[in-house]
Amino acid sequence: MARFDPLIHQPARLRIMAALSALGPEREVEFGLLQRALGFTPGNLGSHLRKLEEAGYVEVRKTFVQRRPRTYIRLTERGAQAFREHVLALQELLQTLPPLTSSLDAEDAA
Amino acid sequence: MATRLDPREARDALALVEEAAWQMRRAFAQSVLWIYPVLWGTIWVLGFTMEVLAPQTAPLVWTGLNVVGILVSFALGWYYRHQHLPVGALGPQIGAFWLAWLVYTVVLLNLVHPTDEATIGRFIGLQAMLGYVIMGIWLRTKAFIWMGLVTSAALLASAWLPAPWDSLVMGWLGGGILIAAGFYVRMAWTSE
Repeated sequence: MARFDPLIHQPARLRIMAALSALGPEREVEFGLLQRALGFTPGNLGSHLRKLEEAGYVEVRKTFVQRRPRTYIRLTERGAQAFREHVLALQELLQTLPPLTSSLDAEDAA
Repeated sequence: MATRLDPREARDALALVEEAAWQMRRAFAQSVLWIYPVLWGTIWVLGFTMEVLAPQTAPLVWTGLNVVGILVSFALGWYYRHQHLPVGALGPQIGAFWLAWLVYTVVLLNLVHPTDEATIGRFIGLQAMLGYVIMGIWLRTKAFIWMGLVTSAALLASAWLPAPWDSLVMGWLGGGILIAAGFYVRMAWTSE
């Protein structure tokens, strides 16, 4: 069964992961473009990216372009895999009518 | 803490995923779309200015400019397609929309059949701006909607102006708005 990921399921992080996933493998996006695309504030996007980076789902690269600081973000292989699993888990859930308990419940129960 | 999910919540989450992916593809599409209003705005400025400076050669100049504009537009589309931008199906959809709009405008032009040069120019301009308004609504890009509406207003207002002011307003105001809107979109949607 596909794995539900509570870290990804938070709506803002789910949108970030979906946006990065739409870029395809190995493609990175500039912070400002991602922020404008999703309509986040810089602070909000930054805080969610930090959580995703800590989980190893995204890679953040800081550099200078024409002496101006730039930040580029890309999905890691681990992040892509986790996102695929999460979407699959959601799709599986759609096919079942009664409310289901996520993997968090399983962890709680254990 | 237990996380209970029901199918409705899963459906909402999947809708968020679809929407965010579309927003990302749209951002990359916007980052190259700006060039088209700049191109056609420049053509308008040149064409309508030539109507004032050399009215006798204006039809020939317009034909040449339109052919160049269409060829450059197709070449840019081909170039961007080979850049492998992550726009998914959105890129071909935008290309197909403008191709269909071009065919529709030519068919409508032949059906309505305006006689004088100024009306033909205004008619084509209004059709192009209507196309931008539709695309702006589709891509939820206010800059394209405003550009289409304001330029249409300028084109319609120019009909009440005496020559050569009508051509100058269509060229410099209409074309100028296209160029300005193109650069505005470029500033808003390119990262470099």
